Amino acid sequence: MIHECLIVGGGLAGLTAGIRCAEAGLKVAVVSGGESALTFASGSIDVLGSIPGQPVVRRPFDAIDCLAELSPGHPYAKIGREKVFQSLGWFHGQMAEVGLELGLASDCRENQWRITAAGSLRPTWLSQPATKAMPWECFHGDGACLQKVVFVNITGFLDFMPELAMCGLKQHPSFRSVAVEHFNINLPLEHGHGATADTMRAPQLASAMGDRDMDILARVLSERVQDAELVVMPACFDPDLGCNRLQKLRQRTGLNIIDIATLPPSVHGLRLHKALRNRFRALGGFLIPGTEVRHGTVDGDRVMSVSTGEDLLSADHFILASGSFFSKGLQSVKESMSDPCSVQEPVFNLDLHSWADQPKDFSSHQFLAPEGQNFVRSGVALNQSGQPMVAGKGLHNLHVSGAVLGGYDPVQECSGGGVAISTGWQAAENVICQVKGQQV
Amino acid sequence: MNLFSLNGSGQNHDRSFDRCLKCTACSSQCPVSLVRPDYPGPKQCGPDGERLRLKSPEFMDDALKYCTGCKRCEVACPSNVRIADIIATAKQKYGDNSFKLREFLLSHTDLMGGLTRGSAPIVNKITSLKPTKILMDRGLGIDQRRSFPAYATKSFRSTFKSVASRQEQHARKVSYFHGCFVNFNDPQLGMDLVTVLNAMNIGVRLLQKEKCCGVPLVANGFHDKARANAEFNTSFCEQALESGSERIVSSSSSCSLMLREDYPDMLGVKNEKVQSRISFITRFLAGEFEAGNKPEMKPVNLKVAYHSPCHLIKAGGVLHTLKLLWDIPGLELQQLDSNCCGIAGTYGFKKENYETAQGIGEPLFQQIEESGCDFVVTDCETCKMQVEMSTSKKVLHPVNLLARSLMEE
Repeated sequence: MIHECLIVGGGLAGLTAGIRCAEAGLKVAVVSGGESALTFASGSIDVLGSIPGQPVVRRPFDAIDCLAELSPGHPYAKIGREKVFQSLGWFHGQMAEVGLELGLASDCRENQWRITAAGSLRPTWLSQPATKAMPWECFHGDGACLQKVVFVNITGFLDFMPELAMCGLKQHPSFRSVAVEHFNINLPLEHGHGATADTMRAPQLASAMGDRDMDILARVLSERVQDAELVVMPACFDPDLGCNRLQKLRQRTGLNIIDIATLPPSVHGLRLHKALRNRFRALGGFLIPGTEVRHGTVDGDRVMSVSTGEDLLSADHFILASGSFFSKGLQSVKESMSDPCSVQEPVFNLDLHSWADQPKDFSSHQFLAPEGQNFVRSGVALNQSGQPMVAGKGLHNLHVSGAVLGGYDPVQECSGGGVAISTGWQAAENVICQVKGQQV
Repeated sequence: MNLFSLNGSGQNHDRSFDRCLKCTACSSQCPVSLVRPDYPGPKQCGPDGERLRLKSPEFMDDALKYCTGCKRCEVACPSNVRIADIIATAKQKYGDNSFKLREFLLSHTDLMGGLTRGSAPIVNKITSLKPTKILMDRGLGIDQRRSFPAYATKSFRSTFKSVASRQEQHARKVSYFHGCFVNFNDPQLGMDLVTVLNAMNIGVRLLQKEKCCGVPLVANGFHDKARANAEFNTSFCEQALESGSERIVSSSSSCSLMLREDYPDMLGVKNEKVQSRISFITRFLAGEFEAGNKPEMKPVNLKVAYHSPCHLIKAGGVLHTLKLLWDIPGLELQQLDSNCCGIAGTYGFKKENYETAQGIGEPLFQQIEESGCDFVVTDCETCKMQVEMSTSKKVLHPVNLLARSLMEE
């Protein structure tokens, strides 16, 4: 059987593309080498929160026009704001189909605020149900709609640091007059086989907690928190798709409790990954794990096959969603210490965004440089028709999506999730259009 | 203690742990640590722990015994750290290596199978009796809730004799490493493999002799025995290739991973003369199909759910099995979400691991029951035992299905 579409990469972009292809009735398979960045993800979908030189973005889709003017090579600029909106709305519906109800602001074109484990506020568009992002008005300007926030950790758990979160949050102008406190709760960890929280990662903690632990949490929280409008805990309650235990805890205590992604592995990120896989399989897609694509064979303007080094995989269309440096979708090469770093796309050696217009170096010595790290913006460039190129020549049946694309900075812009989804969706739409076009 | 000096063995040690970035992708995929939170997970037991164990063996953590060796951590690792191998080696090097009868009985699969020769019905009856199970549970620590795989009345090697002579009629020949399970428990799978290859005009030979591949031996601390078997099997593989077989094929995903990759990597047994010509059967068949050597197939009107074994994922072989299943006409195929079944060879037979094994497999069992499939399909014999014991479904090997598509009316 020849697949109509073969997708390289099983992360957010690849699986989104796979779901869209499968939904349109295409024979589609996703080939995946290892784990994707979803293992580290917050599980919320940030679309656009910041544009250089502009105030923080409240209406992300409207801001795409402005972004496109500033950086015409941005992946959003190629897709256009209405299609970005359409793709993300579609994604929201797909996740709901498998029981993951991601939260929208009441005005669905607006961002909301999510609190991170470092205590910063990030503009996000879709939030995990358990994280319950807060409306924009909550923290806009100097005022905040809260008087008191309490961070609560499980004693010993190292991957959530309430003191750090507290300090971070206090730096936000809206929180100057807000009381922020923290405390720990000691739990016996009913299913922990005697191990303590300090040796566990968040998913383990989630499985170690039993009914007795939930009883203790409910009792201590009710006793110690009376007047806080918000209680923030580490995401360690519901490893599966719903948020039943947290919901129950909210009901029992009457408190507004949210749980937020911890240091990796992230329970929310893993949940999103599971929802994506479930949806993809339910639509008849196949996921091929443990299979790393290394080379692609190009003939003229067509990709003929990709290879793992041992096996050839043929298909009519290919979508490259191989991720950024960490996922090996991009590689940095430095011949010697004095040479500048160069970047390569290792499968097809695709043309990348040029550095010529970048005055800065490959990376800044300041880790959290305010202008961002330049290498983050490197990646595959697309031509006017949205095609990737090899030596300037566009490829007809290869479509590129997600973090392997260049021309944007997911960290600075708060745009990683939105770019992965909209470019994954767009790549799938291109394939669907070409496949159905041939059928007519 | 000087923190910057290594103990004696450190210099020649596998240093793949140095590549660890501490990203925890491995820990996110460990099936054991979710069910047993007292198992600190692959990152801590593998690369982190190894760094310490090199300073002093006192840092050996008893929890390493919970590792099943599924290798999902290695698939997840972006830096190719051989996490599971590090753990397996540390268990052997620093763990309790005293002789244990239970471990001996569970791991010497060829010896145990050989002992049942001629008495399989009696042995099957006895091992399925409640008093026997209680006795094995109390006396040996083999969990009484576990069902034992039934031994076949006639071994594969004897059954094969009836078809051996006609194999030489085929111009092309491959040698089949059948493994213990096919020989003593599931000769039908071996015969199906012969049927399928013969239909593709390829003759099947057996190795002149073979011993257990060594997977259960390594898992139970019998590394020296495993190494001896590795040398034995490798030399018979060499002999087979020298006498005209073009390839060694195996129908067990774990045996083939062992023969091909773990002999040199884990046991230090050189197999470069044969390594590239050892294939898991679906890899070989998918290659033949693609090259145009595809037998004529009739529709198999079944609804099946495919479970990918951990060791096949690690070997990059899921692709080949799917390619074959996609090619079977009439087959309604659904893929189960990748989830370890929990048994991990002999691991799940041990009393102290029973709950862990069943806990790991639970999401898989649930998916299978909800799938509405006629059969589960998988490539691994112990996954088959586990799924058949823990769900209402029977399990077929991809080769069983291919044989059906040749034989069905």
